Amino acid sequence: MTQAEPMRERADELSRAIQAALAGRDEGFRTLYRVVQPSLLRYLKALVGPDAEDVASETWLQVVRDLRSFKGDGDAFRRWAVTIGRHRAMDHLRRNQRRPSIAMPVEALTELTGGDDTAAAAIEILTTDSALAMIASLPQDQAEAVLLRVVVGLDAASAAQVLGKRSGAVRTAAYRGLKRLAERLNGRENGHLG
Amino acid sequence: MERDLSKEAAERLLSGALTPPPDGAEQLAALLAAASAPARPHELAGEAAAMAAFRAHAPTVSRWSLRRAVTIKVAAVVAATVAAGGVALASSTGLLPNPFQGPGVTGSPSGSASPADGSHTPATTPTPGTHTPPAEALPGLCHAYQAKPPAERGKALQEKPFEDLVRAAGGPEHVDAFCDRVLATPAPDKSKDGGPNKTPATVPPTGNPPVTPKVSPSRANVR
Repeated sequence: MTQAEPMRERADELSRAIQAALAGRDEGFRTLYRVVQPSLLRYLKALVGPDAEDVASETWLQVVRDLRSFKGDGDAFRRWAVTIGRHRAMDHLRRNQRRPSIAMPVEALTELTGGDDTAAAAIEILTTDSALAMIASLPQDQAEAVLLRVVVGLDAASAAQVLGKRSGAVRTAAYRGLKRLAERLNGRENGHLG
Repeated sequence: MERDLSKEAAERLLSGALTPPPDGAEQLAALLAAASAPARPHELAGEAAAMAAFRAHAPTVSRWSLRRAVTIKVAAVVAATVAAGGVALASSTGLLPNPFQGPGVTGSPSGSASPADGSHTPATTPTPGTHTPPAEALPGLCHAYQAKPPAERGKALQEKPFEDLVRAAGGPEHVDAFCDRVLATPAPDKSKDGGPNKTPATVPPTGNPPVTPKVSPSRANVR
C-alpha cells in the first residue's frame, strides 16, 4: 500500500469537513484542525523554530476569521492554510528581525543513529523530530520544498503557489533537498560501517 | 548502495509514495516517513483555543441564527403575552365588551397589535452577535497575545489576527488591562447560552466545552 491513497482519502475527508465548517458545524472545523495542524506545525517549525506553536495559533485565528471567504476543496484549504501560516511566520521573523533560522542542533543529527551501528537500527530509531530537524537543516528553499511536498502533502504546483515560485524551481529545490538528505544518510552509514 | 537518487525515485518519494521505497533510497524513505508520521498529541494542544475561536467567529449560520431564532421566539411570546394581558386588562376595566372578539375588530385602548404584529415589536431587543468582536473569541485572542514575550506584544497588535482584540479593547494601549479583565472572568460563554429561561434544546451540544484555551504549552514541548 502506498501513502498516496490515504492522502486522497484525507483530501476527501477535508473537503467534507470544509463544507461542515462553512455551515458552522464544530466537527467540521475540528477535522480541519486535526488534519492540517500537525503538518502546518512541522512546516512552521522549520521556519521559526520554537515559536512555531505561537505562529500556528495566529494562523488558525486568521483561518477562522477569513474562513467565510474561502472557496475550494480540501487540497485548496490545505494550500490556503499553509500560505497563511507562511505569511504569519514571515511577519514573525520580520518583527524579530531574524532570518528564517533553521537552527539545527548537531546533537539532533547524532540522535539519528542512537548509538547502534546497523542501518536497520538507524531506521527504526529515526524519530519524527530528528527527521524533521534533519530536513530543516537543509538550505531553506530545499527544506521548505521538501516539507511542503512530503509533510504537508502538496503537489509541486501547490507548493510553488505557497512559496510564490515557479513549480520548476520548487521541483528542483525538492529534488536537491532529497539528494542531500540521501547523501547525509549514506555518509553517516558509511562512517559507521567503515 | 546507490548514491545517486533518480528524478523518478525522488518524485515518487515527494508525492508520498514511501512504501515500498525506491531501490537504494530505503533510509531516505524512512526519514520522510518519520517526518510525516501521524500527529502526536502535543501537536494538537491548541485545539481548544482554535475551536473557541471558531465558535466565536463562524456563527454566521449556526449559532447566530439559532440565537436570533430564540430571541424572536421569546420576543413573540412576550409580545403575545403583553397583548393578551392588554386584552385581559382592557376587558377587566370594562373597556372591551368582549375579550374574545379579536383585537383587530375592537379599537383596543392599548393599541396593542395582534400577536402576529407583535413579533415586530421587539425589533429594539438587542440582537446578539451583530457587533464585531464576538465575546467568545476574546479569551483565545488574549491567551495568544499574552503568550508572546512582552517585547513582541506591541508589534503583534499591529498584526491582522489581533485586530478584533485591539478594537474590543478600544486601542492597543488598553489591551493589557483588557485581557486581564477578560481572563479574570471565567468562561462567560455557557451561562449566557444555557440560561434556564431559554429552550436548552436549541443550544448545540458541543463535545468540547470552551475551556480556557491553552495557546502555548508549546514552549515546553519544543526542543
